Amino acid sequence: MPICKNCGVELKDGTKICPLCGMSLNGSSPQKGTLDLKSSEKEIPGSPNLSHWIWELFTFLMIAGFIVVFMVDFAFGMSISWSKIPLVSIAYLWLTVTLAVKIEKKIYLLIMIEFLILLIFLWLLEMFIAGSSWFHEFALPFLILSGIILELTLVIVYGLKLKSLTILSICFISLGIFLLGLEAVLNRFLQNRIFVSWSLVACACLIPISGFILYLKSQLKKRGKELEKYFHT
Amino acid sequence: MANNFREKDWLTLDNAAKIYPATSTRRSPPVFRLTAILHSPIKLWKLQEALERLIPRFPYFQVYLHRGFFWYYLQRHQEIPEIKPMQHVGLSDLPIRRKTAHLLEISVRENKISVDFSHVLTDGKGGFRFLTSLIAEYLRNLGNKIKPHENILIPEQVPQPDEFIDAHRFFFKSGMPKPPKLNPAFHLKDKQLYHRKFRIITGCISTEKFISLTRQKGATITEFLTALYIYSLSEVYQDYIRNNIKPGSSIIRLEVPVDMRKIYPSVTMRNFSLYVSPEIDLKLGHYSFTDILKKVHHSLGMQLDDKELNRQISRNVSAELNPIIRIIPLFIKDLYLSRLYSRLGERIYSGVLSNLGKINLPDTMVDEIEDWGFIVHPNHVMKKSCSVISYGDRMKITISSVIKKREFERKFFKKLRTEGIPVHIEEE
Repeated sequence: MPICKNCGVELKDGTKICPLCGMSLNGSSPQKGTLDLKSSEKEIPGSPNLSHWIWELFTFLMIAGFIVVFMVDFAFGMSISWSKIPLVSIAYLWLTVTLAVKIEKKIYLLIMIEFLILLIFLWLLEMFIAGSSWFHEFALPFLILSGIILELTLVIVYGLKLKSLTILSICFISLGIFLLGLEAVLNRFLQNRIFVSWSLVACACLIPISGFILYLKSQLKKRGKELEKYFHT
Repeated sequence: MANNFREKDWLTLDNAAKIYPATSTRRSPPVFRLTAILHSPIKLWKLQEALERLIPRFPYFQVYLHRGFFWYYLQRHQEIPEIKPMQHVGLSDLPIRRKTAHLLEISVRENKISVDFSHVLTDGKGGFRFLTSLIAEYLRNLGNKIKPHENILIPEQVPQPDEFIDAHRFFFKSGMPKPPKLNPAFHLKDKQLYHRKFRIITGCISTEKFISLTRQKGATITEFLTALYIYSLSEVYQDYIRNNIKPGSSIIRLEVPVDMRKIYPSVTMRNFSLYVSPEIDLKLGHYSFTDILKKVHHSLGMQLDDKELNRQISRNVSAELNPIIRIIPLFIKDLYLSRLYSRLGERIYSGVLSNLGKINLPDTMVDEIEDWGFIVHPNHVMKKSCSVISYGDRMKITISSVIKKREFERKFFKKLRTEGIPVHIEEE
């Protein structure tokens, strides 16, 4: 069995570097690093892929529904008329769920694509409903605003690895900004001019609440969760 | 308390440990080291396996110190203590104030295994049981058969609730008179070694010869060594007088820990030691070694009494339970406790003599273990401490010192030699 020249301890056969001091057994100098004698990482057995199975069932139902609606519409008039909206809705629903299942780990990308699909879906709806002009005036700016605020909130929450009350605090700030934007978009759509009034009050309330939540969190971190051991007398 | 730890993952400090976090410094950490020297080089991976299996048996040792608002407490540590390469000299300072630092440190070199324990965790007996159990598990891992023994705890056992308890509080009786107040004692005077450095000199003697000498003198081993310690300090005191060095106090008083498990039926693995304080006052005149031995013999006989020791428990636990003290925030308590430690500890004692006694192990382990070592970290006020351990026919008397001068050690071992005991000196 090999013996470390530095520590004098016996090591397992095949060991090249002493895990205690980092000295190479062929005599080179100790390597920096911490002792790692722990057993190799255990593999976590994978859970059964239930979500994939549900997605397959969902896909089957959606395809069946799509075909039935299409066939019924087509069979009666040999053209597509009323079924446009349900067909687009089914396609939108399937795409949304599929993306959520397939790219669930890339949350930022998922949200961006979901918003894009929603925009296309709403644009198609506006086209299929004759005489309506709400998409460019309201839906588009509203969805862009919502998407940007949601993305930014998630970047902050995940990027800074925030937890519980801090997330709530960030959500309150995001909500305040969202309300400002929402009122501006609404006023532009309804009154054809951009201004804010009630959302300023809401924002002025939400931001101090957010600050209070952060303060509460700092206090609870110190004294709430660990209350008993921290305050034991 | 055991349920408390299982459910809440934290433990209160025992009564004796409460003072240490406030008084611990890098110069004087409350640390002691136990070392076992085996016949063959340590097989590192086998030791690591043994440690991983054994540490859940000692959950009260797998902790780190945490500040509460009123008291410190021990928080369960998720990590197993690391095995480190042994330093050539000295003990670890076990940085108890560093977040998540273990309160024990295991180190190995060649055929030696050492564990440095913080007194926040346990005392000598608790530490000894841990190291013995670790070695037993290691030897079992190598294929040896180890017979069951009172000092060996095995991983298959479940930790007993009695091992967790603060025995001071368990055996506390209220309303006892306090122990008498003690005046400041004599301390050695010399410049201290550089930061965190200290000298260790070990005198090895024959246990058999020494026992026959102590019997002849009508004393126990601890009494004889205590008397020798006091005698050597009194010689240094006389040197100071001759050389016009002001000695400060004329009282030479030693702190001699007593394992309370021998007095009370307790299996606690946490601190359960108190102190007896033999002393002489050199203003009363010159004391020969025989005088000192006689005085120490009677003094220890008087103090090693459960009722007398109860006074210490009563004083210490009453202070802990005092409602006013309990509600004082920790940062103020820290100031108070460090003053208290100075008043009740380092100022009133000239030195410490800690005798762990004779190592008692099953035969199968005795065949594998060559020797044992025991070092107590010296206090920077008392300057030196003496620790004693005996194994087979070999008794090791280790004097650790934070000062450079060795006149005390010279006088100590010279006197032992003149009493007819051959001494073999080892220095680290």
